[in-house]
Amino acid sequence: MSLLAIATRCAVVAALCAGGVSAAGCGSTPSTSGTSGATAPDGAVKTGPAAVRAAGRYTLEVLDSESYSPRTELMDRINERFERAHPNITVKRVTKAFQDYMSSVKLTLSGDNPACVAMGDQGRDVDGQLVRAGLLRPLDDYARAYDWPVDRTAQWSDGGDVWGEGETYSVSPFYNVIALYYNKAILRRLGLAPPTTFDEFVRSLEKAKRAGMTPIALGNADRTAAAMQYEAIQGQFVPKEQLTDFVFRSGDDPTFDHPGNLDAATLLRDWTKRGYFTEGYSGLTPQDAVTRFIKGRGLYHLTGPWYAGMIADGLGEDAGLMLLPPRNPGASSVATGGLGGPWHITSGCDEPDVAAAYLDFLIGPEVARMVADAGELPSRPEPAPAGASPILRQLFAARDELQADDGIVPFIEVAYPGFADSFYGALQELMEGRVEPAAFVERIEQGYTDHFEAAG
Amino acid sequence: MPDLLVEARDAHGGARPRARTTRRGGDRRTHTNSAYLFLAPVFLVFGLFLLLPLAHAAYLSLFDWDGLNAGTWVGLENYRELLTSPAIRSAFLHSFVLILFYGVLPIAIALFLVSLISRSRHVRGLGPYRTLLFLPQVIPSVVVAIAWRWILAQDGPLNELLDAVGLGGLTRPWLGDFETALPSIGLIGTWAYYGLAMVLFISGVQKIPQSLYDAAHMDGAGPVREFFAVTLPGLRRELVVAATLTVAAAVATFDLVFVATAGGPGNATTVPALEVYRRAFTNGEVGAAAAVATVIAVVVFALMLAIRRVGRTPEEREAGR
Repeated sequence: MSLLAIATRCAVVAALCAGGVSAAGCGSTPSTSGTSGATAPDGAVKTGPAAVRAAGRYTLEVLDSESYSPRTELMDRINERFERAHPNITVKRVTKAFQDYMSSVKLTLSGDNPACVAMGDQGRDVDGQLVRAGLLRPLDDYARAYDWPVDRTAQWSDGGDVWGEGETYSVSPFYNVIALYYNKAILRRLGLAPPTTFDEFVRSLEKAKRAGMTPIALGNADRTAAAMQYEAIQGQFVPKEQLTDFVFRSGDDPTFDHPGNLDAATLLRDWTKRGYFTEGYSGLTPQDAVTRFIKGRGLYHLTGPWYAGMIADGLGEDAGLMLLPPRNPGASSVATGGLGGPWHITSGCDEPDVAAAYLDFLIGPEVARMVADAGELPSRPEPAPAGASPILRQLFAARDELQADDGIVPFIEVAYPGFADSFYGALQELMEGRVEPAAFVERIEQGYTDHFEAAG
Repeated sequence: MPDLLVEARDAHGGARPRARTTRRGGDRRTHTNSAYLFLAPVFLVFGLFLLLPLAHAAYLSLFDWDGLNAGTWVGLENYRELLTSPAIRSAFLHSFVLILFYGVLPIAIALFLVSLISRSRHVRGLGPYRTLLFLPQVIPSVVVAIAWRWILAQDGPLNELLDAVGLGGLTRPWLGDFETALPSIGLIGTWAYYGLAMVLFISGVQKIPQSLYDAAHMDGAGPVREFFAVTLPGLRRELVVAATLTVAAAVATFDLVFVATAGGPGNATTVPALEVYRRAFTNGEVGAAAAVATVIAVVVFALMLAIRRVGRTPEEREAGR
């Protein structure tokens, strides 16, 4: 083989390796002059149908990551409704699968003609970087004018360095709650009622295991599901303020090094050792797990609302849903979740009034009803639709309870870029007993302080 | 692609003896000048779409850059971080383990099977057979990964088989177990690449003159002797091609790991390319990602040169090339 052929091969391979990077790199080079954060114009913003009419014939470009059925069809219907309400507007929607979307959104929005409305993702690794790069328009003016609800996960200040306070940058029509789904038939067979305290819940796990059943259906091949289990337990042991302080890096002592985390880590390890999770969970995907749960191979399943429809259809009458019961009887429940994927207006948007009207429409009552009718959970406290399954009703009730008692805590893995990976990896090691709970807590804390020290 | 390589090699190889004499003869320049003219378009495309991005990535690796905001020149800082990072060290370690599974093992299996085929030179239905062997190469590796994830799951066919033959004690979630995840990924690679090696070797073995086998036969060589004296030397070029392709695939592997294990459990199956992806797209460290990518390129290049050196023909060795 000639040297040229070898060199070609090498270069092809190397270019493939570098592919992701050169995609980022081709034509775009780190500039030495920084981009400054976008600031809202001083003039008062225009709202409502008149503001949209004033734009004349206009094509509103929208980028979203809602590519999965039935969410994608729902988004199409929502856009049609918006166009019908505003005949001068055409919505041009571009959607990509979540993972592809998130890996490209920063580049897409930093291009010359970014879309007017774009989704991001909660947390410092996506939204934080978009704000830092000045790609998003702060929305406080519109939020005040339209009276949008305020949520810490949507707030950024200091050019994206501070999260959880400051200007609002996004809204979301959807809501997430990590809830405890259960199989009523199995509970009955075990002679149990749905647990009302955390201790009762733990006892029911042991009882199910003794009876030869899988207490909790889990599939962690994608590494995210174990984090949901951990966060659910963590919510029972670490005070809510401590948790939010860790995520937003607020308060006097934002830290992972809290005794509650040691308790949660110890318990998760203990449950794994006792075989409370599906055997071979580490090689199963979340879909595998929910399929098993539907087939009666699992008493409980801890997951988000995205599987509610599947579980309602699969288990029918036997499907039950509750929030993980609190440790102290009578205390209010705590669950992971909150607003769904954030919707932003880009700083390059030439018709922010139209974009803001679109966002307001997304979180308005009409879309909330469409969301609920589609079997999904709207962020707006809209009641469950008339024909909703019991599961969906319970899901709506859980959302109302959490919103009323301020019981929702954000997913912790978005605390800083790269944390998710190390957190997921550390959890797998913890569950398999390759790292002790104390060392687990220490490692997470170390990564956390290292990151923010390096960031200054 | 392999065909192209073989052709390129043949053209070059055929000209070799003449090139050696002309070097002493002195009319070499006229030859090369016209050759450059013909090569120019290739070099242009090659440089524009391969060398330039490559150089650009290497340049980016000298910045602390999140891909969006202003980058800061940090010189070799990204490389210093990379050398001390245990995550990177284990990722490269894993890719070297994968070389065994993607390269050494498939080549060994294919050599063994081909040596059997070479004994009976007239294989009937070679076309369909070749197609079947090549199939894993044609299936997208994402599909391969999903299929194998299913096969290797706790209640997948492999464990069912083990249960059925009384080896239930061995069952485990193969891709989710810290001890078996990396070898499992590796064996998927073996499955995918032995067909490639087979196809290369089959075509190679057919080019070995029958007279050599006859001569070996006359000299009383047994099957083992025949393999080492005739088949193996005859397959030298194919071996180099197979090793080049599979070793490069092992070091640069991404999609299979990304879909099958996402680097888990823990960090048991992280590979360098996965680190590139994580750094560039989730962590927003484009400079550091480019540094890893550059190191991958250098490692691959070094391995290619090593393979090329080992795979020299005696004449080439003599000529000091």
